[in-house]
Amino acid sequence: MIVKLCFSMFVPFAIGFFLMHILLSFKSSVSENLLLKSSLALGLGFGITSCTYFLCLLLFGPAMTGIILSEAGILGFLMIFFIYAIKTRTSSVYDMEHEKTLNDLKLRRILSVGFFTVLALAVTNIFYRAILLPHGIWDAWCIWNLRARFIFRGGKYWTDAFSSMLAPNHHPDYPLLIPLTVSRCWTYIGNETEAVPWLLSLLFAFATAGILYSALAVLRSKSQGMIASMLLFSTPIFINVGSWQQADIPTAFFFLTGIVFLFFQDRFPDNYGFSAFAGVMTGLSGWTKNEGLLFLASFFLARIVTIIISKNRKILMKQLVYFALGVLPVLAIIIYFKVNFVPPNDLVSGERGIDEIILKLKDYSRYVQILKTFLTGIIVFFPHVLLLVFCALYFGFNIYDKIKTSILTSLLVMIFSMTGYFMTYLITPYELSWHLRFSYDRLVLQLWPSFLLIYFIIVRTPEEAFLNSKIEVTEKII
Amino acid sequence: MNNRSFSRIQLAVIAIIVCALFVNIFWLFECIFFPERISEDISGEINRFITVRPLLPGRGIVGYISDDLTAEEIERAKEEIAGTKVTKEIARTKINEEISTIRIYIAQYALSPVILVRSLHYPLIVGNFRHSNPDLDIYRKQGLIPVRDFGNGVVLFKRESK
Repeated sequence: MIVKLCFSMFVPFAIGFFLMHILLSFKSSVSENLLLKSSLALGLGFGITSCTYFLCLLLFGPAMTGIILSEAGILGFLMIFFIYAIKTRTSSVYDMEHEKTLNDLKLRRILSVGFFTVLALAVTNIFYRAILLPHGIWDAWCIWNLRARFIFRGGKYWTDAFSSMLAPNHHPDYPLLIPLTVSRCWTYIGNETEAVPWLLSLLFAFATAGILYSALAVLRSKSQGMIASMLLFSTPIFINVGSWQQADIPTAFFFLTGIVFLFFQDRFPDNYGFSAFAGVMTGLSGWTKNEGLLFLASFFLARIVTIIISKNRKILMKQLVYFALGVLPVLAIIIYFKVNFVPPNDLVSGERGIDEIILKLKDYSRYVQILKTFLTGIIVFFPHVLLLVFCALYFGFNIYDKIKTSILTSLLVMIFSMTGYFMTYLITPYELSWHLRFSYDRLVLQLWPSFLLIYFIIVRTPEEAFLNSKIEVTEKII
Repeated sequence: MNNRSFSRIQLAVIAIIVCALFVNIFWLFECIFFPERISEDISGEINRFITVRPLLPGRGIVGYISDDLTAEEIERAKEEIAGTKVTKEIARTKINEEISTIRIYIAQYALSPVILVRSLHYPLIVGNFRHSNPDLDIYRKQGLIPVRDFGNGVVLFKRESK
């Protein structure tokens, strides 16, 4: 069983890895690049195979042959290009240059020891919690794993998973990346094992942290990556949700990768593949959770605003076209699924009239209640915000011209997403305090790794802060 | 070299490391010594339905009945929970367990791909009771014939044909 389990997870990883190598050609010789590429490949592979599995179910039904043939076909096709890319590539390799590593040996040692200790503790924490909860918590078994069971056990009646006869709390309208990935792995293995959703949850948690570290290590410095990932690993809700088999960490993963590709696009403007991959990853966030669709809309809107105020309109427009090209295949699948299979979403359906919505929009106490939860919730669930203020005060900011556009876009994405969440709460058909209590922390968690990335791209690295202090002293002496 | 500035940077980095270590050690401590605060394991509940599943059809709708708590009992359970020091998730779980809404969802998870509907108007009905020996006469009066009592609070009924 273990061999089959590993194989079922290795195939998506290989697909993601080959695709990334062919189209983006990160140089894998540096460990951070390899970690970045592997973490990205994992999510991308799971996303692609969940889409192909969905198409297989539609075209050939749940037969194993369809899945194996389609995935072997993709893998074989990519392998040819992969070998060709290895043989022919000479000058087009993107060697991610690193900032200078920390000069001070003492501080470098402290940081490395601290980072690896926190990493070991966090990994133990997540594993331990996951062992205590083999079925995950509420959302995991009530929505995601239940759907996976329906698809796997249902055979040719797999669409029963979206039956309107199911209780509303099963949310039959939620997208399918997680249930399809779990069901696909079970099909490979030949039986249901709790190890699949369990492992998937852990892999996404570690891949998210891996991307945060390696992207910052590549774009800024290793020490910056270490600090950011330490903060992520010490976020209590990240550790919890990482072991709960919910879809919030995978959603956070795709949000983060969308933003990461945006920064790489600015750093390496010649390769529009980065924009296309940003589109694919953002699209996959919508295939993971409905919040991903809001993120996708925010991303698109933010890019349009950036184009309007930017001088490089032509280049940015071209990037947007590639972004759209990346989004389209995934979006087509999402639309097909939403139109043909599922009842309307609980937040927008029902017998609610426009009058009720207007009434809620006019109720100022709702605005106050949501704002209060937003502000207090951030301090309660993400106490590290205080540490970030502390960091900014001590290190200062350093905004590189080269990535100014992506900083602006990503900040706008954050603002638009939070505004979207705010508006959703404002008109929610549920009791507002209940809805806020049981979802707000996880919604912010979805944006948290992306926020950490943006923040640590803007803030000075310890090396820069040190260098800056030296320059200041020299200027004073002169 | 500006030692003061440099030590300030060192201080900031050390502060972050200390905070991250503190949070993780505290949480690991909780995991090891207070696992009941974290665990919401439903394996036991799921296992109750293992024997009934082979007797159900491969798909379709099956009725569901249970001896859920009354509104007064729910309120009493909530009050009991409110007075104790428990985490949000545990409170949520305990309240849910008490008000029984969670029980149908666990049954649904265990018995999928059949769909459970709270109704007696189906040929087969799964009974999910809080006690291992429910009074089946109550259900006989409602036109349900017990097919098999699994002895763990789970009973499979069929609808009496008229």
